Amino acid sequence: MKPKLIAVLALIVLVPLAVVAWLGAKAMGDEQAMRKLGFHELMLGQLSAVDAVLARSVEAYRERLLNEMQPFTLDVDELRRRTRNSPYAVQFYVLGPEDRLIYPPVALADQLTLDERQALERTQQIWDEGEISNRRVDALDSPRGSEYASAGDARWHVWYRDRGLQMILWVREGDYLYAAEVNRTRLLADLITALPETDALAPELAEGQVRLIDSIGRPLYEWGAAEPEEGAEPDVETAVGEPLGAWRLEYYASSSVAGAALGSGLWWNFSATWVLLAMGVFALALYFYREQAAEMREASQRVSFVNQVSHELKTPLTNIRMYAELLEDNIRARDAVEDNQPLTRYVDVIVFESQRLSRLIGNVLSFSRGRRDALDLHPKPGVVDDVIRRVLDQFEPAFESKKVRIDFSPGAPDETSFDPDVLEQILGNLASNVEKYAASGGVLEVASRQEADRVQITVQDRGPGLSAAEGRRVFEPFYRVHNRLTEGVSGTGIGLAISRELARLHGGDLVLLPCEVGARFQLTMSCPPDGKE
Amino acid sequence: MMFSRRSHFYRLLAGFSVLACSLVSPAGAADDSALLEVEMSSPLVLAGAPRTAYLRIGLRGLRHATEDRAPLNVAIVLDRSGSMQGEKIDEAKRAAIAALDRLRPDDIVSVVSYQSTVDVVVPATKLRDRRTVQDAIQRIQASGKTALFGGVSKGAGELEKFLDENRVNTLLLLSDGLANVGPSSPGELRQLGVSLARQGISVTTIGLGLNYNEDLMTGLAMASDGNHFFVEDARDLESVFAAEFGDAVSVVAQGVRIRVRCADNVRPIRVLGRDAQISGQDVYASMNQLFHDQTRFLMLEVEISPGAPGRVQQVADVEVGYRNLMTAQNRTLQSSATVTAAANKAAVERRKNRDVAVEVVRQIGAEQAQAATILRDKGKVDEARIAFEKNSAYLESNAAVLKDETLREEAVSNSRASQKVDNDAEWQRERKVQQEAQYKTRQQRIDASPK
Repeated sequence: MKPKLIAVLALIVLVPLAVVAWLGAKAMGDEQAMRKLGFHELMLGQLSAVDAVLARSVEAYRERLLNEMQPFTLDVDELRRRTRNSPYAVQFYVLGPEDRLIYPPVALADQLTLDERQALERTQQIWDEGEISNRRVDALDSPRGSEYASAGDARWHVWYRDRGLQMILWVREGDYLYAAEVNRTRLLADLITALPETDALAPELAEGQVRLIDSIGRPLYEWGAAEPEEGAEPDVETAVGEPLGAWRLEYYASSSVAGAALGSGLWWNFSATWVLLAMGVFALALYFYREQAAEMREASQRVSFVNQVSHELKTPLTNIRMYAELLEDNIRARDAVEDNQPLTRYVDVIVFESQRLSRLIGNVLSFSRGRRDALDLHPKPGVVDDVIRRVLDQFEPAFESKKVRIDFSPGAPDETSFDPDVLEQILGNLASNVEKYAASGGVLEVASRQEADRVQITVQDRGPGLSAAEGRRVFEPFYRVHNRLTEGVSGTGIGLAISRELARLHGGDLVLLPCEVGARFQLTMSCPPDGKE
Repeated sequence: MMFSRRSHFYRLLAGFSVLACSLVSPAGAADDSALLEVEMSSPLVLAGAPRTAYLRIGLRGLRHATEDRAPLNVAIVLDRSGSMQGEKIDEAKRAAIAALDRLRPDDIVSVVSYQSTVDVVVPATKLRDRRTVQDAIQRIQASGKTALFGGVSKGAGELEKFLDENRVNTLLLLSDGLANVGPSSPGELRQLGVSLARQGISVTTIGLGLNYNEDLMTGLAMASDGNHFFVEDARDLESVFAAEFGDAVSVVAQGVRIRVRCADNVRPIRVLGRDAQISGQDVYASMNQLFHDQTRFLMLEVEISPGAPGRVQQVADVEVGYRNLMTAQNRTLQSSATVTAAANKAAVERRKNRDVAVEVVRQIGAEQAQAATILRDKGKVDEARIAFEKNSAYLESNAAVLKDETLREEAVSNSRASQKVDNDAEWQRERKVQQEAQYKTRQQRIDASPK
């Protein structure tokens, strides 16, 4: 009883909690995915803003280079002076008609300075192969191409050398092509100057770190207060716009920011709610369990009390019954002489009622033994019909007074092994029920049949009968059919239950058979022929 | 076509120079803040085959009558990476705060600190409210990596806000470790230094302790014509800061551009110790700053094809342009040098200019020490030891001949280096000592003894 109760309570508690947890987790997962997407979008927007800063810086740098290139000149001394003094360009170049280099003056190799020679080493291939001069302005499809048109149609040429980005700004003017090779460290320094400091992040990025990464994966500059762990993967990254397209911006969220953005707070809230709910449900379950346990304890105390009382009653009752029967025998013997009718009747009543009380006590004790799995059989050799007859004899006076005719068709005359007390108890219960509820039928038919090691007894009355629903429940303990007929009739409600239990203990069963009028019970018992035991 | 026009111009100029030389004698020119002196290693050259000779161009900063000085625009860039924790950062902050005392309210100061990331602690501002700047410096705390390039970039950005040719624009960089965020090769930092120098910004680098990259720090300083200091003990920072600020307040001229135009039968070979451009007959060099009571040199090696004995030979015209910070005007000084062909070798030797000869030996000694250092870098320990020993002997013998104590000191220094190439730990320190010494030599800057 108790393990079952615990199992049911556990189910009642755990199933809803599990369902809530699952639904919650699913909702969380969806919410988190949404937030992640939103977070990613937001960060990407921030990085785009940074990229815009870079673009403005590059544009400013371009303006400065253009300022240094203008007014356009072919004068070598002037170009050298500009190269010597330019903070932004490491070398200027001029290509003449047919794309020949005019400056640095390659035609006069012995006049070249060391810097010019090195510059030509860096860029020779570009001039020799016409990488810039063969490009037509209108054929360029740079993403920021439209911006170029605004400032003298100057354009970037980008290539890679010495593990890094190299840039040349060039512009065509008539037959000539003027170019400036960028001082790339200076460009980077200018970009860094325009980029934020440690704490100057956008509020959304404040807890993370942004890195500018060059084409070989080297961090050029970092900002933001939270240093990511070594080897951490960026949460968001984006390429820098042209001409620095080989560079990229990486954003590393600090765990707290990522956590907040990705809803670890959400998880916490949900978990807390769930735990509270679980605690509530558990407390409720525990309360019910304790109530139930207390009730059951009380019930079992009552049962044990009744049991004890029954036990206490049993011995005096047995004595009363025995002496009443002795008295009855004596009186009957005397009656034959003196015809003392009333005395005989009084004794009959005492005997019958004491038998009924014995049966009742027997039922109670059987029931409580059955609860404790302590029922056992004491088979003895005997004849079933004799026992039936004895029981019917006991009931004869009662039936007679209620005008009930007993119709017994004996069919089990062979000696066999069975527990007569058990049979007596079952039949007593059935007969008692007829007396109490079905006396109106006016007849009690009892038939017995014996075949091999089975005995079958049918008890049929012509009373009001039982409905199908009632029929299903009459064997439940403490069930009593409630209707006009049963009103005012006493009973414990355990008679049929204990009878069926005893029948099953005896290797058979007690069932209610369908019939048109009244109730028809069939008792079967396994009774091996005597001596075969 | 253009070239032939130019050579025609040279011939004209050469003729003119002879005239100029005879007018301005002995070769020199001055205004109120600088004095230009052009000297030959010897006024005589042995007639006959082409001879190697040295031209020393000296520019001396003159002290002003008034105590006035040019206002400063200084960016202090402090390393606050994890390795600076403790005494180092405390001393650095103390030194920086103490240095502020030397400044005037109209000087502009900015303070930048860097670790993995960079902070502009004090944006460029006139030093009206000293207290705020001091407090800001005091709050700097050390942790993290070393974004040296970012720090210098931001510092330069602050300087640029008030970049003014009439201010002394200086970036003071302190680092104790290897740059590990952003560009970190000496070449890249040198390129940045060159760019800054062209805008009139000099970068002074202070290497603290034994773990910084001295090549990067000297390279950056050299490219921008700033100073370089090796400070082993953080407690010396205050005096180094003081020295640097002392320099900054003694600048009388800046943006010095030197052009040397060699005569026809003179071929420029190379410039000793510093970056310069040689283009045909022209030599271009620049210095960022000129300090009062100090002389800075440019040493040019030339090959002269002398004429017949007795003939006076034009060697070069020198033109120096600069910004006079006292008058806030651009000035140009011109001078030139001549030699006379002589038949007698003894006479040439007798007339030798001892000062120039010492400077030549010093520069060559520095070059050879640098070569020895490179050998040691390549792991050629024995060859490096021999190179240092040879250099020591070279300096020692010249010190004897020229009777110069400074050369003898350098001989001792090289001899010490030769003994330390074996031991990695000792060499790590010695290399920094050597780099600092060689840097000072190559700066070609000496206190001008009043003549």
